[in-house]
Amino acid sequence: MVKIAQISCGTDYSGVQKEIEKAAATFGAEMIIPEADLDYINEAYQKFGFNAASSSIRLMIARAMSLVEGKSDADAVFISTCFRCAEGALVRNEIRRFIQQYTNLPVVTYSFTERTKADELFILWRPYPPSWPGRVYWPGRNRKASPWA
Amino acid sequence: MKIAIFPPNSLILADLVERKGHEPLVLQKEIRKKVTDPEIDSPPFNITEDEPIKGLKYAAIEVPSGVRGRMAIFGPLIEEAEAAIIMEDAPFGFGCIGCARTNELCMFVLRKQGIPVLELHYPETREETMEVVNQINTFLDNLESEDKEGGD
Repeated sequence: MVKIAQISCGTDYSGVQKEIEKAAATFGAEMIIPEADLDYINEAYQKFGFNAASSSIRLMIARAMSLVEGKSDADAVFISTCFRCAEGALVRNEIRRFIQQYTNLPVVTYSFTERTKADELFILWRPYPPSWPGRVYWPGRNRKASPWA
Repeated sequence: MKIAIFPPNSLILADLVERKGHEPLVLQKEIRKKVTDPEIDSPPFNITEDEPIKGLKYAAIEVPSGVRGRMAIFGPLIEEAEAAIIMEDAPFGFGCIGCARTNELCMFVLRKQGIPVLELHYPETREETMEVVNQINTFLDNLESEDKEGGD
């Protein structure tokens, strides 16, 4: 099963978590949450260099760092924050850049509202089936050298 | 008395309030009501599209849906509150709702309620911690006596 790492803020409180999982399940994928403990959150966002005020945004940074450092494994990444959140928009973009710089994982970013439905997310995920030419992901081969190694 | 605490899911603040015989208004109780429904429509918190719409009572439509969804849970608790304890600059291990903008809005709405509010900064040392606990206890004791005087 294709594992899509979910790096997000506010999906649970906006009521769209179910829609994200539904969209993934439709294409035979599952959403996974990269590991990050409390100490790692502080360490990661300081290393990353973005001093976000929101703790969920800091957690997003830690989850991205966890993927890049190889603490968690995934085949693709879905980055998402609330539509109109300035801090979320900044971090979403920086995390995308960070993951694309240090891994070969395909990344999709999206800003949702409470009205986001699984059907809208299909459009995003369709261009990235595992069999897409030039985008074949082999476990263990999709990671570039870690910046911290 | 019903005491709103901030962060609204702080177990330490809730415990201090409960020890003085008051009722802490905590986020966990509200979430519990949602997740013990016979139908779980939207895990993990069973928050659906309706909650951000209910949150329009506290924040405008151009406010992010996450803020409105959080306010739909915490807003009714603020309205119910007869007093409040706000702990500012608390680390996320102490309790948090994940969004700094929601924190700002919650604290503003609490201050606007016209109820007694105790505002504290998160203690960093042992002495500060003892001072903070004393302040909370004194605040809660005073509320108790005010309540009795009001009742008489």
